[in-house]
Amino acid sequence: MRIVAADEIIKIQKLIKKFGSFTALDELDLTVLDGEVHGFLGPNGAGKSTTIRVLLGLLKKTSGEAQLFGQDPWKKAVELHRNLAYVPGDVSFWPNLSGGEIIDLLGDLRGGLDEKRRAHLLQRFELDPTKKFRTYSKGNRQKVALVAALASDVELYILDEPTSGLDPLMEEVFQQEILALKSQQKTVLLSSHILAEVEALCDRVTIIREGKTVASNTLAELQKQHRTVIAVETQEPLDDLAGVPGVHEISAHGTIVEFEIDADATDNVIKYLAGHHIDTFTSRPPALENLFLSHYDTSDKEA
Amino acid sequence: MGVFTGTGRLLRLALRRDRIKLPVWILLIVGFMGSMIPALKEAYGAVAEQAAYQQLLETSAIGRLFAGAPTEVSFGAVVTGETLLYFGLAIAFMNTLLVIRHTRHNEELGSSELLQSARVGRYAALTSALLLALVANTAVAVGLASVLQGVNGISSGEAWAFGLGQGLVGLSFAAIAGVTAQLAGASRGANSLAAMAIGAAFLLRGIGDIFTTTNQAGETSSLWISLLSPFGWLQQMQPLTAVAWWPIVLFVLFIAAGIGLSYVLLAHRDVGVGIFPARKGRARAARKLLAASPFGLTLRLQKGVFIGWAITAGIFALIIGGMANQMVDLIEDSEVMQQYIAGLGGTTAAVESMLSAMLGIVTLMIGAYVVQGMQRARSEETRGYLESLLATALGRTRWLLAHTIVVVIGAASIAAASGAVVAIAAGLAAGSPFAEWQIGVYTLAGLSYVPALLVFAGITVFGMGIAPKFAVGLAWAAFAFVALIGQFGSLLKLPDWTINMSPFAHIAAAPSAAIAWQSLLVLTAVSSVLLLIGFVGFRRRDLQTS
Repeated sequence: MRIVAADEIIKIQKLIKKFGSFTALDELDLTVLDGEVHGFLGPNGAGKSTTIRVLLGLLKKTSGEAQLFGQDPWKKAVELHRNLAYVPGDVSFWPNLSGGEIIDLLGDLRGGLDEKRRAHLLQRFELDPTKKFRTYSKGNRQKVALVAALASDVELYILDEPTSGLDPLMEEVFQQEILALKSQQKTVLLSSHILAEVEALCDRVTIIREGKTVASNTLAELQKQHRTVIAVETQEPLDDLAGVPGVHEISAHGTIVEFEIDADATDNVIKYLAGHHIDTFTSRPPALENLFLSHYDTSDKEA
Repeated sequence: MGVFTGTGRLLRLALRRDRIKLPVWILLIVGFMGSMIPALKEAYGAVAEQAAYQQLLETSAIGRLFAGAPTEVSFGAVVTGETLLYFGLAIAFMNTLLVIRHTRHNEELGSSELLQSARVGRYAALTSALLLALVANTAVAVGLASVLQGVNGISSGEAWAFGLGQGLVGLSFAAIAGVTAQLAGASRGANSLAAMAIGAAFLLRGIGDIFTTTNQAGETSSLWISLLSPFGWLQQMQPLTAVAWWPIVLFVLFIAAGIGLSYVLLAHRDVGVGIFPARKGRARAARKLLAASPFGLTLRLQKGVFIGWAITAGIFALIIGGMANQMVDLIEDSEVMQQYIAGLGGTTAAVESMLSAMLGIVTLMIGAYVVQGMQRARSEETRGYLESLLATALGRTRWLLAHTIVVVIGAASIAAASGAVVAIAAGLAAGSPFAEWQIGVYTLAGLSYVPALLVFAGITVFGMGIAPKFAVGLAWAAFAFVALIGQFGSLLKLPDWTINMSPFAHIAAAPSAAIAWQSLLVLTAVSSVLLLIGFVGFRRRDLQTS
């Protein structure tokens, strides 16, 4: 049964995965559209890798729906894998094979790799393919997996925290390569903790926590759901500020009053402030960090 | 912060990590000694039998290779021949594995890097591993001495000398492993180097015992070359016959030198890198690595295990074939050996019967190859390599099939070659009557064990499909059971139904007995069922991930 629209590459609905009595995924939802770079975020242990492994047919779902290219990843694993490349979160390969051998091997098993891209990526990532895998550092190990995946000409790239060991220069190279894929209408599912990376690359993000989806939208829309911080100095005291709808967390620092406002309260608040002779005014849009922290924090019920 | 800072904490951590593994090693060693004594008492209680045993060692080079030079007619001398070296070997392996596990292997897991960045000194890991070895060897020594206490014919002092000697052998090889752990490029290499050192030490001592000399007083002594080996020093202690304490000096000097060298080498290398430089690999995969994927990769991964066991089995087959004549003379003189050969499945004391029975022992060793080969497949999963493989267009069944086929064909070729080598060696050693023997007959005899070997593959794959966490333990337990029954089943007077649980009990000792084709079919069928359940289970279960 095909439950997905034509442009939905990944469609997960109410996915449950249990390991014994432990529920790793609890009615998780995730939709990845054709041609988008989709950020997959969540605190450690939230279930990102488990979700990916179900998508790859490595783990069997307990219940719910999980479809890849409109098909069941458990039953059609081999066929579906010709169309995707995967970078695992914990990169470990045969210690006595060289990086070059591993790249060729995985490419071959996937159905061949693009020679020009292989050479290009080795050069961009400054990876020596003749070293035995055991002698690579953590960052270089990740590069082996990245080159192996990105050198494959496939439709979907599933990357599980692919840059956690890369230095800032290599992070930059990685971002450029992903943007290049994006311009070719390739689809990328990117699990990441690096917010700058998510901001630079992702069209949409899905945030999960404790096996549940807590938010899924474009970054702009997610930011809209969060409060802007305002700091003002006025000539007249803002005694009844607390009464204005959508205003929260008021605090005074000398002559400066700082408070947060809901996105839809902006108009009202500005009108109210205008009546009190504003001397200085600054506003800070919701920081990405705060946005994620509010979703990650298990004690925060607002999300 | 001192270079030894944190040794105590690391030792406690190591004790905790090994809280199952080490007690099992120690209990198996001590427990096996405990079960051997009554069995030996039964077989060699009388003076005549003890004399026959010494006579066996005098006439048989192969007997001396494995049991040492003849000493005196006593029960202690029999126990020495039947246990001293075997237990020394087991203890040597316990020590090399232990030391490398807690030094180089840790470095590869990355945990030592983490620990060293905390408050742990540079020498702490090696020191804690050596201290752990000291703890383990002390436990083994005390355990063995306790088991021998009060045994009729062995004095208390002799029992303690036996335990002490074994403990010192253990520490000697712990020191050797301390050195190889610094030399090799990785833990696997360090383990191989250490195993080679154990093999060389055993062989040096064996050569010394094969070429014994007898002085005018009629006393037999080993060639000087034995004294180059810790196993030779262990023998020189003569713990159960005429205790000598001077070899302890050699042991202590050797252990001190080895440990000292380990620290010197450790000071001259970086974490995760051995003294021997790591070799460069290929920039591109060779065509054979990619051939018939994943068979090319599987062959590469299975190559090391195969070569190791093929050489071991080959050497064994060569010795057995080459010594055939001497052994037959001996068997005809000894009732005990006739019993032993009959227990292995031989029927008469003819050369053919002896060779047939011995071929059973060589093929049993190939069983260990099968288990280790399939363990290699399972470790692909636990080490996380399989996750990346199965995320490509490679199916689970195809992957497991590749490993199973490579291991089974490997086992069959070693079995066939072992048969051929036994026949060729026997022919070369004995001249014309043997030269006419058909190598093909022995090759076929070797192959007749393949269905029994297939059972080991079946058990491991069954485990991988149904209870992956226990697969390797299950397979080795099955192997240990079969080996124990094969070697000591008749000696320990086990009931028939127990003996019949071993697949090897159903293989007729060809060519002396006719190949039991029906049994082979049954064994093949049993293996096929186990394999099938394993393959189906493996398709249906979650992949084990980190």
